[in-house]
Amino acid sequence: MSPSTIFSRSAGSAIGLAIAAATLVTPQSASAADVDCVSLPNPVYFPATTLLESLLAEIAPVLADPALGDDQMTIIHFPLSSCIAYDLHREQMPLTGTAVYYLPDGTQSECDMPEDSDIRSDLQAMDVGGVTCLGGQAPPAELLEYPSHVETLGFVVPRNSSQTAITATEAYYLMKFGGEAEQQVAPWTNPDFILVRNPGSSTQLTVGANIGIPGTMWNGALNGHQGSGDVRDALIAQNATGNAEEVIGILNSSKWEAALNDIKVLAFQPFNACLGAVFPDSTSTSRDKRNVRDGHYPIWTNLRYVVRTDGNGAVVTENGDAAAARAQRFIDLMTGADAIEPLNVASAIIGTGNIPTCAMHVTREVDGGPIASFEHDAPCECLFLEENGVDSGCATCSDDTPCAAGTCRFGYCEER
Amino acid sequence: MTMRKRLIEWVVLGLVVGLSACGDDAGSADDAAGTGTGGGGDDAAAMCDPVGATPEVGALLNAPVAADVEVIQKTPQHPGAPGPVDLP
Repeated sequence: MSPSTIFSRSAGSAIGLAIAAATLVTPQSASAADVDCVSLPNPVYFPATTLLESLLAEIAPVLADPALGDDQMTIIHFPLSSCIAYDLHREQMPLTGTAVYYLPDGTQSECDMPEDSDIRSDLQAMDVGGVTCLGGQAPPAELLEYPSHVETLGFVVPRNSSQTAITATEAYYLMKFGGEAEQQVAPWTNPDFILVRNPGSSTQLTVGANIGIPGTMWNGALNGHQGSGDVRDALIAQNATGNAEEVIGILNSSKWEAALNDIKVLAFQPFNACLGAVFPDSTSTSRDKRNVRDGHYPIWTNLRYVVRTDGNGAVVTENGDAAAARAQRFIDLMTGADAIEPLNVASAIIGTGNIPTCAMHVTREVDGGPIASFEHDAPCECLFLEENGVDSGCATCSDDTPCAAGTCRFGYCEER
Repeated sequence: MTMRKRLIEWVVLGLVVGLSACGDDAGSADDAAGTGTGGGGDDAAAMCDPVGATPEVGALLNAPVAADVEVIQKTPQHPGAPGPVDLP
């Protein structure tokens, strides 16, 4: 059974949840890990979108360092599609299978949950809102969502493909008809080479919202994948098969930017766009996300951290008060509500191909919904550009060398 | 008489705004040429709706870009008319 067919649109259905539990076991779980997850210090049980893998690889090792004292925690990541992770957390199903964690030196490792595990998730992260996963229904009142950074998504092809652009209407035909005769879009006519995710994937849901066909209604003949890493690997493999020209996939920027020798993102022309097709960045080779940040490129979404709260709005978890405190601390650090010296979350977000909200000039209230102009209270435009290797033209500053104008933030003189 | 004059002004204004927002090349023969099963003279023109269902989104999507922004004019390869309305 392909991943694209195993998850029903009724995200909370018993079938969906049973499958979610089954798929909790990660692809690496064929060989059992030697470490029990429950033996790790200060665990945070965290089912979350696979799109977060790159960022966690930067953040989790820092948090695992015993030198942090009370802030030390082990992020135990269960990499899943967004809505499957959401269902696990919403229904508080016991966590089983194999998970991923990081050692302080950056080494990625695996651990096993006990077979009779009664441990539940402490928090969860996904790239769409709960209302999207629930098919438009309001999420339970006790689930609180913390919006965070922006993830850019897009259509990608193998580096050996000559294709450079796709329109929203072309994408609609691809995903609705899957290469069906008389409804084809050259050169992407073979559904085996159209690499998608599954109906519970935030990537698929977000792309679908921008091409006129919901991610839950894509053609069953398309080549579905469980995780974004699976799409990346399958797409890269086609560079060597002679089929590169026929291959297209959907992916997130943190994945394609880490594989630029093998993958290229396509320019996208949205519905109602007159200018033509544009890349997420200002050019095919730049890395400034200019078109995402100013509203010309609409395929993006906000990451959300989701916790359960009591009647007073305090985080709660079935794993006890200490676990709840760790979950709250983790969210505070990841959303910038608090900071600790060794952890530069903004830089990590930028370094993994994502955009902190302080560098955005547009926002949206609803997944895939209308985009509106937006100016952050504490902008970080200069930092964002400089960290991406773009000359921002901003003066540098410090406590000893204040800005002649504007505000010193992250070492640069921002306009405000 | 005043209403008629205003109506004419709106029509003229709409044409001017539409043409300027769509760029000089949007309705050109090159864009409309098409290949394979897709393309067609109506495609490029119909895709160039600077407003769409949400005016602010249209304004952001079609706001002028700087000279260093790479824009690709693609000849659509899909059958039928471009979206987002009347898609099969």
